[in-house]
Amino acid sequence: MLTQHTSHTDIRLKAALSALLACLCVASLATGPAHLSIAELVQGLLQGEGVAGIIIRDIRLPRLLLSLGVGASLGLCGAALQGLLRNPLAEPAIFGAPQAAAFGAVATLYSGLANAVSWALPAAAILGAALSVALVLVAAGRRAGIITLILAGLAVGSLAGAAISLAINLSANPFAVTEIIFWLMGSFEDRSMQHVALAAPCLMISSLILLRCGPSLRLLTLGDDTARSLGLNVTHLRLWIVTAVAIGVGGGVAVSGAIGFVGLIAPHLMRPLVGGDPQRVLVPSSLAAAALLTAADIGVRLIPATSEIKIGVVTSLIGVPLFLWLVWTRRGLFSTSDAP
Amino acid sequence: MTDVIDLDLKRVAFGNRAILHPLSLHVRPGELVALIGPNGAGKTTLLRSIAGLVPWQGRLRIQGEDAAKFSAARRAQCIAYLEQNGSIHWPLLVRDIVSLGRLPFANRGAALSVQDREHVDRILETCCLEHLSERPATELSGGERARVLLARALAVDAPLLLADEPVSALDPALQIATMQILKDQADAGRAVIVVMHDLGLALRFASRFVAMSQGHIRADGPPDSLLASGALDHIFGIRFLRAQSDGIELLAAARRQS
Repeated sequence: MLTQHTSHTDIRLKAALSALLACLCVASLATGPAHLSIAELVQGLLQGEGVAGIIIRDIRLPRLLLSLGVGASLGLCGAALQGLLRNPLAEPAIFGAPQAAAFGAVATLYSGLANAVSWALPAAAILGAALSVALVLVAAGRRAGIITLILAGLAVGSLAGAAISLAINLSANPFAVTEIIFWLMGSFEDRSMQHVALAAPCLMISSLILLRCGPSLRLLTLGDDTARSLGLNVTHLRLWIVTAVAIGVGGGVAVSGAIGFVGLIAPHLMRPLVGGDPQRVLVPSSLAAAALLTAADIGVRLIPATSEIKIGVVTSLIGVPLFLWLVWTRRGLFSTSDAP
Repeated sequence: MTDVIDLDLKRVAFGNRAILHPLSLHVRPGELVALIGPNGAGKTTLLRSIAGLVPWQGRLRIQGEDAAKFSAARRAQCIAYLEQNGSIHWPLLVRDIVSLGRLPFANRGAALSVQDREHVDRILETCCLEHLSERPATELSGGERARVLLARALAVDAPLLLADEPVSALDPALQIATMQILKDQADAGRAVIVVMHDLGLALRFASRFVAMSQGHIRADGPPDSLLASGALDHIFGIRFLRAQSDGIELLAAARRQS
């Protein structure tokens, strides 16, 4: 349902973001303690032989793929939730899925299962996110309104947060506590293609569902009643989006830990460029979030420190001031419903 | 001629509280029905029931077809609904907002067809919105936004148009312009049901009054006869005084003398 003019704008924006992403991909593969020339980088990537091959294919490529995938998913989830709730402050944490996924992961770190079985941590995180959605949907009911869903999500998120605190509190092993706290800060360090394989299905399924919801999100611009009168099943839409967000966030948290603010910031940066359209903002938000997270992941490798700074810390340190600046510069936009 | 609406409603309830009691409503093509009554009479609930927005018991036929068997898209093609105090949450262009009215006819996510774009252009012209078509709808005044939402409802091009207080927030000139647009829709063969509180305006444009109170339809017929019979005085608990000026019917409300 796009006009000719807007579709040209969208194509240009997506092309610019894709070009930026391509540059960041090269920079990400080229950044690390071992210096590699462009020729070595290409050779290592294509042939996978020698030291360059191991560095690129086993260390930097998984890291890049995860920052791209998790970033894209966070951006898409944030944009979809903001469209669903018609609230620019909405983000995945509102439904409790990231906290529940984090608790799933923390439980395996606490119990030592994470060290015994390599896939236990990500699997537990995904399971945690899935259980949180099930709990939210059961608590809110089949015909749940958005307020009920948010309240149920907040309750589940708070419960998961309390459970994480309890695990830290009860942990007899100080190394486990350190491990849990570091993991909660989020990172793409020491990730393998196994992590990519584990997260990819969740991220893809979530993204496909959310992209399909685009036209419906646009319709919601007119409010629930008008959207329903135009044939939209608003209840089903809510359930699909909440579930897709949980799957995407669960998959992301499972391999990267908790990474905040990307899903909130990216749609805000893109929205003015697409005229505030909740459908058109989906793909640009996804690309922008992938770029932001990849850039942040390059940044943590370049910052000189005794140990690598966690990416969740960087996204929050950059994200919060950026968000405050956005709020400051666009105060007028948040009260558009009160236009003259 | 087949009725556009053939409604036989048994009950609408929120919890244990009945909002609408058994009632029947038949509306033919070309009729502009003013749905009137005191606040809390059930007018909006009746409109929302017909639009399929609240659960209710009973039977509804649209142009002779059982609406219960309609798919969501088919229902959306048959019933255009303009809600009371409609909102626009994101700064979409006016043209894009109006285009949403064509969604029940389009493939999911597909571009508008040439015919649909032409239809949207005609509607923008009908509602005098051409000059605003490329402006974000959220930047418009309240009256302009109300016209955009009306245009969105007209864009559906449905045989039945339900409008819930479409003129309540408009200045007198826009009220008349909006009612004329709705009258033109009825004259074009659609059935139009409008919830109204301004009975003077309703008297000038509506071909029929349906008056409700306490969840019942209390009176149904031509405006002149309902006013003459005193039925409306009884329903509203006031006296309606009629006069004429420059060939225009005027209606004023006055307290009943005890």
